[in-house]
Amino acid sequence: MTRDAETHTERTAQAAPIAIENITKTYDDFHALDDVSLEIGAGEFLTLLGPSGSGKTTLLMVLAGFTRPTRGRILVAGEEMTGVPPHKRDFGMVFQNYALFPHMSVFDNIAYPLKLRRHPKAEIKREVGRALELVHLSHLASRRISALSGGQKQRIALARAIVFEPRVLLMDEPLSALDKNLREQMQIEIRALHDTLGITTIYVTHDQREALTMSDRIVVIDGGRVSQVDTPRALYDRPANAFVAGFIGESTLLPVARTNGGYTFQGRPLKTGRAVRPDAGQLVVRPEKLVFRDPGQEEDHNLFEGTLQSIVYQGDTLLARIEIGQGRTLLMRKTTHRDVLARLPEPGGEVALALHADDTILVEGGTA
Amino acid sequence: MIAIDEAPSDGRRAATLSAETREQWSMFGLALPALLIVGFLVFLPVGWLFGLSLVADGQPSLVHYRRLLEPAYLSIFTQTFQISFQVTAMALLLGYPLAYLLSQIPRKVAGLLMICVMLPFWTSILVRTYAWMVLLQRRGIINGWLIDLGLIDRPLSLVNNYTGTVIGMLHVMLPFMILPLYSALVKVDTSLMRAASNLGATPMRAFFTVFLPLSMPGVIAGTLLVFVLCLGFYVTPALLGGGRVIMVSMKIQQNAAMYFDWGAASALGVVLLAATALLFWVISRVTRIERLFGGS
Repeated sequence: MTRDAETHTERTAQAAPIAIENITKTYDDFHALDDVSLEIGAGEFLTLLGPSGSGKTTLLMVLAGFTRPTRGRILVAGEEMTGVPPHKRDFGMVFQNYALFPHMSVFDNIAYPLKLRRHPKAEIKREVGRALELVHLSHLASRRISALSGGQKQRIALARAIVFEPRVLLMDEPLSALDKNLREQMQIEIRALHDTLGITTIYVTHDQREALTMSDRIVVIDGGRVSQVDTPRALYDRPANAFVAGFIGESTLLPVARTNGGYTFQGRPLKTGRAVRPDAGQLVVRPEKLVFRDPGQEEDHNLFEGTLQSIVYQGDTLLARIEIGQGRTLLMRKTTHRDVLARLPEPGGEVALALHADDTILVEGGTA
Repeated sequence: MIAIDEAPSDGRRAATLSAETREQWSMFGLALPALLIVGFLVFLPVGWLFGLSLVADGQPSLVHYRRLLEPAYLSIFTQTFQISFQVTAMALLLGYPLAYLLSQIPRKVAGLLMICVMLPFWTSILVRTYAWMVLLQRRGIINGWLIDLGLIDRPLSLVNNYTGTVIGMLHVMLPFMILPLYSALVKVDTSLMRAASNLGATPMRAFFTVFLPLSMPGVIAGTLLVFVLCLGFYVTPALLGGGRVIMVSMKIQQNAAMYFDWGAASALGVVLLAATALLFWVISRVTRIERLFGGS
């Protein structure tokens, strides 16, 4: 463990901050990236999250140097990188399909960047050994790539990307080919590895849970533009707009009406715990933030009543669909604890619900 | 091959096996006509020729083979292998960059360029060979241009010799090199080149350490195909060599058609076949082709 501590300090010194300034990439008249600016701290784990075609992979390719931006600059530790070819950037990268060299052994794959950097043979052996140890695959050094499982390939790709102590680690949906259990295990391992090495990491995914689990901060990208940059918790609890609210987590969007001095939903004034954007028009309700109404909540809760339509029992949680009039429904998620079940009526019965003012989110748009 | 992960009950296993056996037999039935044609049209004549090569004046004899050890015949074999080797090497050197280009450009453009590569296939080999004679002769277009450009004073002898033979054969062989090369090169995953570049390899280093090794199956396939076709090539060397270049195939024709010496012709054919087979065997031993693919 002392060696891990050593490597930590030694490598943290290397981690570089990145500045992305006004990056735009157009293909003919299509804007893959539209004026994207970001500051990434040294040693930060930043995730680019967005639906497919949002531009998140394009941004990663611009960072890696495989795609030349139409406008804008990339600075790494204050140094201009925009026109630097990929092989001179000193960024590690884990590719979506791993891109391991099939004609080389596991050892030779990991040794490849070190050989290019003309490290002495003995040193290469030691460094490859250490990288393999970090991904817990020391026993596979002499294996052929084709003899590895998907999860093993993933780890070898990771080992190859970090073995030369790059200043920045880029990861392009590295876990998308793995099954769910392995994916969740690797999420934790990659994050732990990041904490050990302290390397600035930019991680691309379309899986919101993965982003929430792993990241220091998440950049939500939509249509080539940055929609919101925030910590996982802030992103979930305070989505800045309807896209983020809809893309991250489950949510029901309901139109609100604007009255002088506030907003109303179905004629009731809405209480909100924080400043509301001026163009607000929709209420975002997270299913798990809804509670059964208790006496004395009128002060700081918004209240709803409706008829229970259906319950979907999903094991650890259940999802209740509640019709609240005017053809609108709310979704409520609850644990399947007996106390919860005791308070749920049969379908068709009446339910009274409450939503805390702090959990009441208003975003733009809607019909009002 | 039957791979069974969890052992099924014996009954089920037997049922699976018999179904599989039945399918194998019906597949064999489908292949039967082709097998018969190959059997009758290839193995029978080859066997018959092999028999002829061991008979002289109605007696079993090795005289036809012994004659092949004479210097005149040895030099024909040497020349045949030398030309074949040279043409193959030049075809690889010319074909690889072209196949590489085709593999890197958009598929649609590559398809158009591929038609240009295939164009010679659709022209009679005899027409092409005579065209080369016109181009290469002393007062031909090529000598004319070179003199007009002031590069040479006197016409070069480009035809009816070794040079003409190599040029003509190279032209015929190039598509046979490019096609297998191209099909191997387009299969090389482009993300591997990106990975190499990301890990610090210059484009040149990435090519030699990643792309070239992964394209070896195509190189081997193209090289073998062209070399073997060269060994038995007749029309082009006969016409462009002007009698100064004698390849084994021409000697076979001479023996059979001019001297009616089927024994001698057969012996030459058998030795050429054996040499080719030996070559295949050596190459398959030296290179583990399946390893180059990264598969098992």
